[in-house]
Amino acid sequence: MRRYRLYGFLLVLTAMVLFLFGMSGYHYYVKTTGKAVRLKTEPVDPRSLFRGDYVRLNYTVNRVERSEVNGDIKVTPGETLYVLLTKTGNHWTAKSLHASPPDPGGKTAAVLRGYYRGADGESVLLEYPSIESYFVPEGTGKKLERLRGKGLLVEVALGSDGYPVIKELIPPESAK
Amino acid sequence: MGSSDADWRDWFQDQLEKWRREGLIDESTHSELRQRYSNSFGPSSDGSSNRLIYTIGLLGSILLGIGIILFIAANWQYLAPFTKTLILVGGVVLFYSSGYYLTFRREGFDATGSSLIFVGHLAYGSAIWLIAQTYHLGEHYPNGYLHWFVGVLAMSTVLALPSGAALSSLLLVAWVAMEHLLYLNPAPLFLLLAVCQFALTYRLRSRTALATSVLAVGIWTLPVFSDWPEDPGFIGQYGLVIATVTATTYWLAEAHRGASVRKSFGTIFQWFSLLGFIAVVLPYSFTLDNDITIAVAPEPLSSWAIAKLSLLGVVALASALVVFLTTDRYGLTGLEVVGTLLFWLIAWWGWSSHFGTTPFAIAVNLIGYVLSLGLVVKGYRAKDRTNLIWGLSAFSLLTLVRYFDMSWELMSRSAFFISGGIVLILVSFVFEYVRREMLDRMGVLS
Repeated sequence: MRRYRLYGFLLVLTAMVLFLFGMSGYHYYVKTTGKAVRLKTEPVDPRSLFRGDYVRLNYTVNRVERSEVNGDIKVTPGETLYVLLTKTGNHWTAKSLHASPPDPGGKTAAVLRGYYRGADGESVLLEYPSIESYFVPEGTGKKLERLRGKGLLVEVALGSDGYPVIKELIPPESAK
Repeated sequence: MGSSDADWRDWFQDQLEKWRREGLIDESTHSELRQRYSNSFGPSSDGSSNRLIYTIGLLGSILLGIGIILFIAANWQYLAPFTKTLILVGGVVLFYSSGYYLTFRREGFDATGSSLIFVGHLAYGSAIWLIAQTYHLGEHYPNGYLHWFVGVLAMSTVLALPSGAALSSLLLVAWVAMEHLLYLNPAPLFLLLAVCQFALTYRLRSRTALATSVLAVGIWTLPVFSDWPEDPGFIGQYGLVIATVTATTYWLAEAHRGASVRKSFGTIFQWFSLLGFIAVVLPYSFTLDNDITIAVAPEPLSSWAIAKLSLLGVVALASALVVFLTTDRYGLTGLEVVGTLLFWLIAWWGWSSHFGTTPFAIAVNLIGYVLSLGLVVKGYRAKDRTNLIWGLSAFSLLTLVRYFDMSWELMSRSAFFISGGIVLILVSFVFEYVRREMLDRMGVLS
């Protein structure tokens, strides 16, 4: 009995450690090996009970025009969609929207994975939960929020499946 | 540990010597007793220097620990993400391992060890949130609670510590509430998790875990078995769902009375059924033309909603049947069976038809009074204080509500408050008198 308890304890503890490392490792891997793109964003400053201060990031790619939808896509909220990104000046914008991962086919294109949220007039609304929150030291959220409309960029690393991870925030003066 | 232990030890050793000299115990018994109690009172008087060393060491560890925590906290934002992860995972491993060692491998450190394991549970939750913060993860917020719950549940199942079971039940509540309130997600996974949580709760016999787990089931049941929030008749369905849950918890309370599980579990179910009873009877007993009574007779329901509610009815009746078949029927009266059935049927009738609110309110009031008086009778006959006090409380509450409901429109405000005060005093006096009288008689009878 005593031995089984020890084995059980070690098993659960190992599973916990693997889960925590897995949670961290996957994002670390994408962050260090993924293709880096810069997206235009508008920050808002809320607060999370357990995680402290953060800014909520809304991207221009959260909204894709219906004319950019590739083929006839029928989706319900929460379903996965893929945005083909193309480089425009100092940041990347949505070129087309796909139901399955498209082939980026070049250095100036990349695939971003998102989820269908709904429609608004001529726009399709998407969400990217893994890059829409940016946690900051306490009290600094407002400072970032003041950069709304001033061309704040976010450098995002994209995994091979289009999964995005935030690398860093690029202030307007550094966004060349 | 203090001088009293040392005094006791000295006294006990003196007594042992005396018993040996007087021939009450032989040499081997003397040495066995000495051996057995040698560790019970802390280190012996010649071990006082060891105690000092132990205290200094403990103080040193605390200072070192605080220093490390402050250093990490001050530099947290400058640490690399992977270093942060290592520190968090290291903390989890350290707390759990030291807790395990002290609880199960060292004699006399159970309390410290259990506390460290509990800190390990908290450290695991903190690690989940802080890693999410480190990598800016905002994906489906309730999942943080879900992963935390699974970890704590698994660890508590292995180590069989009730504090962990209580924490996991609390996390189950947090998770299911978040899924329902923030994401309107029915979360069918809850059923599996709840089964595991209840299994652990019953194994460890944790009252806190049981109360919280029942609450989690209530939170999960309400939106899942009604068409909330899409259906405007939600409040009508809400009454039906609560009525069924109330009946089920009542029968579960009865089942625990005759079962081998701790009787206190039955009391917890009893309290939930009281709360459910009040939650159903009070809102539906009004005849005023308010939002609640309008919602009692909503638009016809979808067949899916009817199927779900019928299933709940079957659960309530099946639980009653199981109690009848498996317990010794101690204290059961036909009144409760008829009451449960009638309550459910009338709730269904009032909600699904358009007969108007007055006959429905009258029926609900009648049933409320019959059930509360039935509880008083049952409590008195079975010498069950909880049922007795319960029935009297419900009866008084219904009477007070009816008084305020009916007299608000009829009297001038000053007369209303004066007579209301008199009614309250009278009710409290009668309640206290009847309660004392019955409890006294029960005491005499027993």
